[in-house]
Amino acid sequence: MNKTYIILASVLVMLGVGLVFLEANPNIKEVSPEKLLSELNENTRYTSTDELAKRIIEGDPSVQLIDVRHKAEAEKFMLQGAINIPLADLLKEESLAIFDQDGKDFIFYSNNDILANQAWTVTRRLGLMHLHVLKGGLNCWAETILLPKIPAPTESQDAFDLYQARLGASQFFTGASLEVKSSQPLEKVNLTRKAKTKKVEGGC
Amino acid sequence: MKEQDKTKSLSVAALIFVAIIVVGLLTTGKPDIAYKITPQQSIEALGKPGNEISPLEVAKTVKANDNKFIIIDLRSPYEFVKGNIPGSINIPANRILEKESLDFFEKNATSNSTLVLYDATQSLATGPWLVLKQLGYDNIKMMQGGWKIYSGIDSQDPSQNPAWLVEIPKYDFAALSASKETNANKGNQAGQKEIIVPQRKVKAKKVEGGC
Repeated sequence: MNKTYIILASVLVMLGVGLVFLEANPNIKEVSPEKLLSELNENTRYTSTDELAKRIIEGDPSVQLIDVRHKAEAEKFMLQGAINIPLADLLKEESLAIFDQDGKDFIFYSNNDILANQAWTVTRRLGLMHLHVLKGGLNCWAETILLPKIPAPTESQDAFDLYQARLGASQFFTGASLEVKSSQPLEKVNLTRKAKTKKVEGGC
Repeated sequence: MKEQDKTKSLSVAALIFVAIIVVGLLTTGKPDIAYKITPQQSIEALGKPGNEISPLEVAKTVKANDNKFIIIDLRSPYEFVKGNIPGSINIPANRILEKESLDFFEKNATSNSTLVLYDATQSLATGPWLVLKQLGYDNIKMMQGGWKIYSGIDSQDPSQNPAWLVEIPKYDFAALSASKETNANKGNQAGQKEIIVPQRKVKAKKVEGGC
């Protein structure tokens, strides 16, 4: 019977040794391609320019904007409170340190959202959390917040409310004084329409 | 006698144990879909030219009946049927990692062919494109402008800045935001504040509650 013991014991030991040498997954946090794709398709990472404007105006401390454009562009203009990390430098140690802050929402932005989405995809793959993308980027910011468009008289009440909100935001971000042309009041035609059930999404 | 019984049961237990381990090892193989390039390599690939292609160039090859590109439409079948680039193949964005799709990409991964991916907009195409790129397929490009621009390509005015080059600043943001009065934006413009990287103590083990 001793022989059996010995054989069994050695098999178990060999298995144990084998397990030790099994490749440990080096990157347990890394997000799988399937998960990454699924999150990309859900589009839950987007923040609209209206939402962002509101949070900045309210002084929301959890916003951390990250400008992923080239240094030259960022030097010309950056959103309030933003940090410039060009896409090419995104994985440097000092850049990744930014993501160590707790309780922050990291919002990538660029002129549009192509670059920002690429930044999001690469950092999300590493397993980082609370990553967002500014939908439409700075071009959309200009078109919705800096230069809001007056809705046509036939548009819904929601569109007018949105315009009012954007006017207010525009004042905040440009310091422009609101010119009220008394000769041309905003005409709002009261049409009887079915109330829109979906909230108007701000965007470009 | 007792000795023999004990040995027998031990042997059986050990054999079962071994069997379980072997089965476990055999069934947890490497994941089917794995990244082939590191995140840093992805960043470097993003910095290289040739990742994008203009809708004008695609339209040219389509008009000339030139089969230079294998064009892939990432939209839903419903949208695809309503209108698509002639000769394009529909692989919805949420299905590009299914076995059938991966087989297709694998088959066309030779360096001779170029796959052009497009969606309704370039924004929608960039994610799936980058995922595939990280899986090792480097003969893929994404089309600028998306179907939104392509569908009206003939009416594009060549003298204007192409509508599909979206990552160009369309406005002088600094001028638009120039502080004129008091409650203006006091944010970062030129002259960056030094970036203060918060140095945090490395969190030690999480404190377990209890006695």
